[in-house]
Amino acid sequence: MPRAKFQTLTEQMFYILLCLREECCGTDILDRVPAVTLGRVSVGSGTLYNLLEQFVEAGMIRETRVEGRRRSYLLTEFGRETLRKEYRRIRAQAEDYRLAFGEEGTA
Amino acid sequence: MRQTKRRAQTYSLYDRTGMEASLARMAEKGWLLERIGPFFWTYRRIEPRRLTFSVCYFPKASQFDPEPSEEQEAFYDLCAHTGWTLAASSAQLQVFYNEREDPVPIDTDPAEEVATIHRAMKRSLIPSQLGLLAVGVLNAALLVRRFLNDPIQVLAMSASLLGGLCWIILFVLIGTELFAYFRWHAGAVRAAQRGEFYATRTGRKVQAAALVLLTGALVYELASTLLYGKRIQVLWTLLLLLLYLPGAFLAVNGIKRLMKDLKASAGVSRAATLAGSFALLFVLLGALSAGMVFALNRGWLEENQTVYEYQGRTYTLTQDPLPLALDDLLEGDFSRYTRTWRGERSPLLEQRTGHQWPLGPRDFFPEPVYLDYDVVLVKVPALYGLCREAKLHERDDWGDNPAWSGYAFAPADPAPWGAEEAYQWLPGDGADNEADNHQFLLFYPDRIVDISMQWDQPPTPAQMAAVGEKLGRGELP
Repeated sequence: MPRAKFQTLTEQMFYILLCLREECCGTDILDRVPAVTLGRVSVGSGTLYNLLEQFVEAGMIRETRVEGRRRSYLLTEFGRETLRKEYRRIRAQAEDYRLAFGEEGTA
Repeated sequence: MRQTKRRAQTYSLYDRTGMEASLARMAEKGWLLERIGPFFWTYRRIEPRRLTFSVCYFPKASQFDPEPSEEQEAFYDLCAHTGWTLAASSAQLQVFYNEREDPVPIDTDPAEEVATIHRAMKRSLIPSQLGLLAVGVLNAALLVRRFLNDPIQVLAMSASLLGGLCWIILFVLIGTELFAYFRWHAGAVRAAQRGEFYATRTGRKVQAAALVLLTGALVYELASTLLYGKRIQVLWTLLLLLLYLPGAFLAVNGIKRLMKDLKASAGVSRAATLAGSFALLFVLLGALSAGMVFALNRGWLEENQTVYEYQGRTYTLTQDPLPLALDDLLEGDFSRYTRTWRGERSPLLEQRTGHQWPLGPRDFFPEPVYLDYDVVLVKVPALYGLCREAKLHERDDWGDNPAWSGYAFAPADPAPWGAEEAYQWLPGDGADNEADNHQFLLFYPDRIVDISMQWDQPPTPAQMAAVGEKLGRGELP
């Protein structure tokens, strides 16, 4: 069954929002996501463009600056709350795993 | 050595997988896409190399945009940051290439990609195909209505058969295209839920078969018109092919180009292109029709004509070769009679009509006689029954005309005509009509003859035999 939009976040959504805890533009995000994840996660330019547009529409981020075609964004309180929920969900998953396999299972 | 190359593009609009693979193959051969045209994609020569291509969609773009919008440029900037260079674009379709080894794809989220493609298709492929389908349904309905009213005329006209074939092919193409798209979309949505991308595919076999069939039918129709058509048909076909179709293409694309040069907004450009194209095509069709009327009035398109003058007036007689003329049936001078032989032919049927009438002052025709006939040559035996029924019931609504009220086809002796079946058009009381109009419907193995002999005496056995020999079995000119 398809999940409701932004009820849970994909990895790419999560890291884009994480980058936007401080003001940055699209190209910054394209660089920062692989840097933060040590190359584990990359966001494509098309995917980023669409997601930024949807995050703005959903009120999760806001546009802070427009310099020519370069637009900068920042996380809103709603976006921060969404990110927090996702963090709790991931932590709960990790906790469930730990309970299932014990500490030695995380090694 | 030529620096550019054009190729027809046969991929479905959403078939990014097929297009990307094809573009990569072309680059390896030393050709890079530089322009997407309405019919052809243009490539420029490059050093042969391995390039990665990405075909993606920008749903907000329109073919009427004077230039890429600021949003679109912002999207290009993001793509450029990861090494993607725009090769060419056309409306929503965007083609990028990347020279890096293993570049980050433009779309890294399958769900987002499917949603973007679907938004683009909802603004392009789906409405255009549904629009064509609606026009197709309307034309098919009109054709079916004509077929029910007069199957012989529809089957005998190669233009109407070609039209019918075109609509059938269009139905198949649109149907397979839409079905394939929605099937792909459903599969892609399911795959995206698993976090996977779903490859696209084009039904190229259906396209190729349709193209071959359509080209064959068009060539047949064109050749048949040029070889057998009357001068007026040939001229009209050539005008449509050489002036109207290129004119239509130039009008639509010229106005679109002009609007782009003037930097008109997409809305203004769309409205101007639609209105301007409609007006220009209307004017062009009007001009061509006026030209035809002018040529007809001057007699430039008439064939087999002779002229005679009497008391200062000129009479123009058509002298088409007739398979059966009054001279074959009656004694007399028919030199001032006009003879016309018209009709249609298709690979299924021929329907030809012959007339011979007096033309001129009554002084020359103290006892005028008239000969009219219609020959339906059935080339496909399976259609004979259909044609037979159609001819037998062709006059069912003639009863509304007081002159023919009470008349019906009554069986007659086919032997004198050398026919298999014969019917005479008679009033209900069975008496031969007194209108000097002896009408018969005659069935021969491969054709049906509908003949009206308008003179005072019923046809003699010799005249009947002549009809059988000339129209029932003879070669038609």
